Amino acid sequence: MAAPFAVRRRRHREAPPERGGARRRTAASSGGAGSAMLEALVAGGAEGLVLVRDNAACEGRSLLRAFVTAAVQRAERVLVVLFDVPREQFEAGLSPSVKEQLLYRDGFTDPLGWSGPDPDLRAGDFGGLLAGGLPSGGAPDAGAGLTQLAAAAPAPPLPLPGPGGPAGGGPPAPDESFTLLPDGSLRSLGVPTPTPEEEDGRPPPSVARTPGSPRDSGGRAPSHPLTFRLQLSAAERAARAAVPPPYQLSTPKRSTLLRTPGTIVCALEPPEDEDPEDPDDDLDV
Amino acid sequence: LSALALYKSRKVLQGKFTLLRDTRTDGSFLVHHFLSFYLRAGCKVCFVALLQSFSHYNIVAQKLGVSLTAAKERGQLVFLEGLKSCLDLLFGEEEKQSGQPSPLQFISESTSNLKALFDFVRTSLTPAGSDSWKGPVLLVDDLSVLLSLGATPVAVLDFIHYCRVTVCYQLKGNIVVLVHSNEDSEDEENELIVNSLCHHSDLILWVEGLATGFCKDVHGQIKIIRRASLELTAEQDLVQIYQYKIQDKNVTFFARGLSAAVL
Repeated sequence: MAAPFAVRRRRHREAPPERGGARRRTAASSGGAGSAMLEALVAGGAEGLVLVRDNAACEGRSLLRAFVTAAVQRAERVLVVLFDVPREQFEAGLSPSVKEQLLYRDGFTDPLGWSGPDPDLRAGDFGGLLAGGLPSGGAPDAGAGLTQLAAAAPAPPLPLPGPGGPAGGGPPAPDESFTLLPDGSLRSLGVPTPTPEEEDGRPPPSVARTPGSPRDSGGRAPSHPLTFRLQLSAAERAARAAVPPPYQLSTPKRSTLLRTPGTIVCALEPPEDEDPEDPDDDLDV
Repeated sequence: LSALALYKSRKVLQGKFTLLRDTRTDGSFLVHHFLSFYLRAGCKVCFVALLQSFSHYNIVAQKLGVSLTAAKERGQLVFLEGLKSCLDLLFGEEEKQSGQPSPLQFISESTSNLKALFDFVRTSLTPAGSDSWKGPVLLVDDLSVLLSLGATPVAVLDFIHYCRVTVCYQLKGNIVVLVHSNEDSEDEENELIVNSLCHHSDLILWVEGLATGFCKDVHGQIKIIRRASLELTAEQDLVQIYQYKIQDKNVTFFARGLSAAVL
C-alpha cells in the first residue's frame, strides 16, 4: 500500500531563452492556492521548468514517474535523461505500455568517459542536449537528470521571487499530500490543514503586489506564517477604544471605594510539625 | 550484528550500497565486521584502507577468526594500504615500479580526479577467468580521508558514482563505505558527500555516540535505515535503533535502555 507523501513544491517560471527554433512556452495563469494544484501540474498544467526536490528520507523519483506516466498518457514525447540510476531502476514501477514509449539518454553509465571511448551521454553534453538536441514535436519532459541535479546540492531553501524575478509571484502554494497508485499515476489528497492566511479578519493579499516584496501586510516573510493575527481590524480598533481603562474610575465607583473601609484578613497557617530529630545530630563538633 | 537478522538473506542480496556513518564516535568496528563477514562468505574483496595500516586490520580480523594475510595470498583480498602508498608516492625512489600509475596519484599530480583509484578498483574486482569467488565487494575506510588528502567533493562523488556503476550494477557486487559526519560540523564538503551518499544507499548504518557522553556499558547507538523507498513499492524507509557495547571479540546489541548493566 503506497504511503502518502507531503512535498513542498516551488514552481519556477522562467523567461524562455532566446534560441533559434526553440519551443514556445506560454506563461500560464497563476495556479492559485487550489487544492488540486499538484494533480493539475501532473496532468499537463506544468509549463517551463518544474523542479522536484526531495531529501534522503523521502525520495522524489516516484513523483517523477507520475509525471512521466501522465505525459505518456497525453501522447507526449518523453525523453528521460538518466544520471543517477540505471534504466532498469527508473523503469521499475512503470507499466509496460509506458515503458515502451520512453526515449532514454544514458548519462549514468559513463558520464566522464572513464570506462570507454564512446559514452552515450557525457555530463558536459547535457546543456547541449537541452538547447537543441531534443526531438522535435511536443513538449518533452526533461527527466531524471534534473531531480538529481537538485537533490545532490546541499539544500539551501529556494529563494522567493525577488526583484527582477518572475512576475506574478504569488504566495507560495501550501503543502499538498499525494499518494501514488500502483499503476504509476498520482492522486492528490489535497491540502492537509488550512493555511493561516485563509482565516478571516485578514485583508487578502493585494493583486498589485510587486515582485520585490513578497511579504504580507504584517511585514513578515511568508516563510514563517504565524498562527495568530497581529493586526486589528477597524471594528476591533473601535471596540478597543470604547473600553475605559481600569485606572480611570467614574465618580460613583470612586466614592464607593472610598467609603468602604479597607480590611486586611490574615489567616495564619497552623504551625508545621517540627521534625524532632536534630538535623545536626551527626555533626561531630 | 548478524544476529540482528539484517543479513538473513544477505548472500542473495547483490548490488547493494551500504553506507556506514559515524557521528561523535568511531564506527570502524563495523568495517572490521564487514571485512571478516565478506571474507568468510567467500567473496572477493577490494579493501581501500586509507586510515590504518594492514597489521592493524589483520590483528582485529584474527580476533574475528579471519586471516588477512592468508586471504591476500590466495587472491581473495586486494588490499590498498593508503598509508604506505601515500608515503611511497611522495617520498618514493626514482625507479618506476612496473609502470603502473599509483592509485592515489591524485595527491601529487595535477589531475584532480580519482580515475586512477577507480581503475585500481575495477581491475581488482573484475573477475578473471580462474576466479571462483562469489560476488565482488568494495570496502572503503574511509571516504572522508580522501577529502583531507585534497580531492574535491565532486571528484569523490564521481569516484563513488563510477564504483556504483561498475561494482553494483555491472558486476552485481556490494559496496560498503565509511564516512564521518557531524550534524553541526562546519565541514561543508564532507556534509555534501554524506548527504549525497545517503540518497544512493540501500542501507545506512548510522553509529552515534550517546548524547549524554561516555558510558562504560553502552558505547553508543546505531540506527539502521533500510531504504525501502528506493525500491519499487515506494514504502517509507524502515528505521531501527539499537544501542551497542563493543567487547573484545564481538559487539552486543540491545534495545535502547535495556543494557545488561541496567537490567
